[in-house]
Amino acid sequence: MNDEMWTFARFEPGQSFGTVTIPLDAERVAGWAAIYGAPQGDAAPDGLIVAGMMEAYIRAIQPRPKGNVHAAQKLAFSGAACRIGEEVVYHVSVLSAEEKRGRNWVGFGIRAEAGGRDLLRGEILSIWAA
Amino acid sequence: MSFPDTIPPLSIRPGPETAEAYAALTQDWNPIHLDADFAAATPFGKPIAHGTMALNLLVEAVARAGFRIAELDIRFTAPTFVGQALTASARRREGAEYAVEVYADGETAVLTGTATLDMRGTGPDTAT
Repeated sequence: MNDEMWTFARFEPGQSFGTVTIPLDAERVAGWAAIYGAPQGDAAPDGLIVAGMMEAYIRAIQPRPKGNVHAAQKLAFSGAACRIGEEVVYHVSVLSAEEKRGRNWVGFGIRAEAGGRDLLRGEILSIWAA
Repeated sequence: MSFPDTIPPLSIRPGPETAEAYAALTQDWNPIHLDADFAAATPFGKPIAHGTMALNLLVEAVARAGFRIAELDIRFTAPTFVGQALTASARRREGAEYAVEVYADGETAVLTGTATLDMRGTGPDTAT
């Protein structure tokens, strides 16, 4: 376990943070339902896959400075089905890292799959705090 | 395939308990969302909601209308303060392309961008 803070200077395009596996279990479904209402049927809400993307992004890159800003987001859903109870594997990587006008911009790529099916590709654009 | 001119608005009013629930859902325990004392010392002055809470409201609004997001490109244009109502909506530009937005308290755009929609159940492996 490396406890060194993930500062902007350590990010490089192409860098991988490996995978984070997140089960779409009853606890997460209940958490989703508390905010957005209960899912209909056994299909996982698309937003639950997005919530998992954020969890993977948070868990994969630790420790991190406080005060990072999530500035922009791209998503591309494949349309493949994902069921409640399945495990989703998220691949986390760095797409870009550049300083512009005194701010540290980092683009993170997240790819989600379940059972070998591609579900989602996301790009998180963050202003990194330190 | 027919796409409606608008996706019906969907609203929530996330209070402190909702911020806690979203933090648990995403494991994002950044104190800017949860700790009034911490937030008071930031430029925001008070706790702000997680950005993707608004994004997921939009994703859910599209789903409830019987569609899904194929592609989306948005910016978070302003913070949402905990306690403000969020309303997500979408207006068709042409074909399956929509202008999407989420407003706080009906007056401040906190998320804007574009999305391409598709019918639900039209992706690969939909029978699995």
